[in-house]
Amino acid sequence: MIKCRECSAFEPAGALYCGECGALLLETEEEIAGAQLPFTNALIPPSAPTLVGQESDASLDVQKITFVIPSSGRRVQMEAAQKIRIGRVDPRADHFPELDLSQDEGGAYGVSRFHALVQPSGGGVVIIDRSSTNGTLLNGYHLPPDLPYPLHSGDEVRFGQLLVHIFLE
Amino acid sequence: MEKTPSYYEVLGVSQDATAEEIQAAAQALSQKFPEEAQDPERNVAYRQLVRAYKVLGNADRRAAYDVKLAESGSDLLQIDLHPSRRTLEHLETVQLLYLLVDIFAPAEEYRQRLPINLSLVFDRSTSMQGVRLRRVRAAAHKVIESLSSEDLVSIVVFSDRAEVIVPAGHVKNKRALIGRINQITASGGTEIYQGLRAGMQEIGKAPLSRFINHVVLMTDGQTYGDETECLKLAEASAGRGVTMSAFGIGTDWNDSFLDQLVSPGGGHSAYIEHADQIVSHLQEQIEGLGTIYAQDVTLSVALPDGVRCKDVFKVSPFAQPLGCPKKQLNLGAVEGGLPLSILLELEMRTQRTGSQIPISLEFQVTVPSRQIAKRRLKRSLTLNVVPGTPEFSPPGKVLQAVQMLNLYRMNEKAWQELQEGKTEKATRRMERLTSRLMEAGQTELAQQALRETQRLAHMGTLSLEGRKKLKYGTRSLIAQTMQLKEND
Repeated sequence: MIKCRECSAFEPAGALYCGECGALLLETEEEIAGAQLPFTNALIPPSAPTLVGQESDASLDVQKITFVIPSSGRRVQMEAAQKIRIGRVDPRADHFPELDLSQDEGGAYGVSRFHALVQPSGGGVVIIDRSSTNGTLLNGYHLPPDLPYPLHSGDEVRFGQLLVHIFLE
Repeated sequence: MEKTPSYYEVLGVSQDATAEEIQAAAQALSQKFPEEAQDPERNVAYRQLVRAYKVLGNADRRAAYDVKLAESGSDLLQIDLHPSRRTLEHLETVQLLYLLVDIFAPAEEYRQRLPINLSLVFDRSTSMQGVRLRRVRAAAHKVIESLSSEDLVSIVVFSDRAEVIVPAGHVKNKRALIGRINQITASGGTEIYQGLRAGMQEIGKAPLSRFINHVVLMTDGQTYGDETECLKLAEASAGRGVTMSAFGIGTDWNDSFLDQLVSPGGGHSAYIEHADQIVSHLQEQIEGLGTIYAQDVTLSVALPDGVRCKDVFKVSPFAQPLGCPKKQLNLGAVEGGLPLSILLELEMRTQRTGSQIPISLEFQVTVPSRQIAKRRLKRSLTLNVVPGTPEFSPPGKVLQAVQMLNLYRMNEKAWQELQEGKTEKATRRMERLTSRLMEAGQTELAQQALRETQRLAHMGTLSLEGRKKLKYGTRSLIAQTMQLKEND
């Protein structure tokens, strides 16, 4: 990801001109934090996250949750106290997930229409894969469907092939 | 420069001929030699024939020969690859690579001209009345004047029906042809299919393989209900070696339809703003046809996993969106003067440091003047994934092509946003486009963009004229920029 110096839009590495404002991107490249996060699944061998109820220190008192999608450069912040459906919008089926990944070419990355659910649980937040077609990976670990797993700040989640970083505050 | 004919040319078959066709061709050719001449030791021509059959008649030897042939062929066409970068970094996110491909005709071949089989298909609906039709007639005169006696020409006019004003024939009595053109009058609606079908029929009267076959469509209106048939016809005709260009006059025609119509044959679609430009546009088109060296040039791209073709745009000799290749992409013709250039936009997913990414392009070309049909040519490129963030400085040509393409896309995006009701976003984008056009020294287009920005801000719409002017203006800017670079 590179950031346009003139309009702050994000473009993929290797882009030459900003698609938003037309500015030349060479020599003005600034790597954004999202793209430089350590590749947790490459550094740490994937180990099974603990199911809710098995763990000792859940992230408590989470107020806000931020999703960073490096491939599109999008950053979305939401209240953590609500149920957040993650998927792709489908107006014909009256399906409007709170986090709509179709804006990040989710379809091409194998994101299902209703892919996963993030919801509050005992002061923290959990993620539940909704039996999605291409599955959900939490820090490289393939989540069994329909079971809640706690999220921690800095977690790396893959919906299908689409990488999303999660930050909790 | 190697000039010996390939074994396919010796046998007179195309490169995708079946084993049976090869055998039949070899047999037929060998029977042409009297028995005493069938001596490979002493007869060079017969020896060539035997050799060609020995190689092509055996599947393994033929495959090996094909590889060699595809990698050579520089005497046929010069193909240069200019990537925006040769190294990639190890990233979790998507990376872009631009690849500019220039295809040149070899220098001494320019003057080898094949006769043209041209059909002019003109809209004569009521809206063409007056200055438009007068200019169309003048343009037809000019075309008739510029064609030689070897060329074939036919003229079809259409409204809700088609009428063949000049049936396909050699240009002999120019005065009589001009007399018939002068009798064209305007009336009726616009049904493009009627006109196209009649034009294609006229074209089809000639032996297609001996000509450059081309239909020029000129219209000022929307066609109703027959778009699918038109597209089918265009596709079938392209398969038979008939290409098409389409010109829209004024503001009421359907731009994306004309784009689609010319795409099967890799042709050109353009906007004619004023009737005064009709003559020059048509003349330019015909002049280009006269210098065609290779035609029916197709491209298929083989990409490894994790690499996706995002978009392909033709940038020279004219600019035209080609879209992403499903299987094969028809690039159109290589003219004598300017190169045929295309810009590929490739998207790469995560790649491991140290890995090599092969990008391979396979072209298929037909060079009528050298009796070469569907010769395959391969070019490839390997990208290395290196640690860290490699610096790269793309060739100036690539940079300029991408810059201009980006302006075209900004305009398209603004239009799309407006359609989706995002007026504010569209307005902001038009503002930015205005300043980029200013920076690029395109005062006239910048002024148009400024007017449209103001219109958007006050009324929430774009004018139809402004929409077409900017779309085709930014589009032709791409080709103009490439031509300046070429003449540097």
